[in-house]
Amino acid sequence: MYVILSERLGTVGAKYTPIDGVNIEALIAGGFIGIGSTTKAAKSAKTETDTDTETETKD
Amino acid sequence: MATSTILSNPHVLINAVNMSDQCTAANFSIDYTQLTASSFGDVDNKYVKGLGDHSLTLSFYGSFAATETWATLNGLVGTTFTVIVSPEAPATPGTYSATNPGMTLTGTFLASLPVNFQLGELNTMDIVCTGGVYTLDVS
Repeated sequence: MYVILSERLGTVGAKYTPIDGVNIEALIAGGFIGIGSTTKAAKSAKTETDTDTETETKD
Repeated sequence: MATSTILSNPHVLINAVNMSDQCTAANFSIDYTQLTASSFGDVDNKYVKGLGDHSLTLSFYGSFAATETWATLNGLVGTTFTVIVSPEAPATPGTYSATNPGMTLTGTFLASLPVNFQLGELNTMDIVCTGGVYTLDVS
């Protein structure tokens, strides 16, 4: 998936669907589009933290 | 004698990139080779249409800033791409009409990118796109 990076091509941030005859390599090299990620961001790992505090008591 | 002034404001898309604000001249030439079809007995030359040999000459101000003229054209030298020139910008991008047709060369070739520097003047880049399939988008 390509993402528009320049207003000369369309709305910045919008998905870009190339039409026939468009030189994609030149658009990427010129900084007009970028390759967007099609996968969702990975969830952060769950970590358990021990909130109990041990206190030493003197008898 | 000219009695009115017509401001020309065509819309130029090179490889889908809108370069109208850097373009100062566009000459779209639709040409076909003329093949002789005369034969014995004819007293006048006759011709039929041969291969299309179209070209588009464009003049730009030579901006080297990001996503400007140099960034647009440099990567196209020696490759084929699509150019569209219309009399004015379409109200909806990509939608042309009979009164604002999109003159299109698909698969046109850019052989060179001359960069012109002249003392006291803005630098320019003049290109000639040759070949490609010509269509007139009026839809």
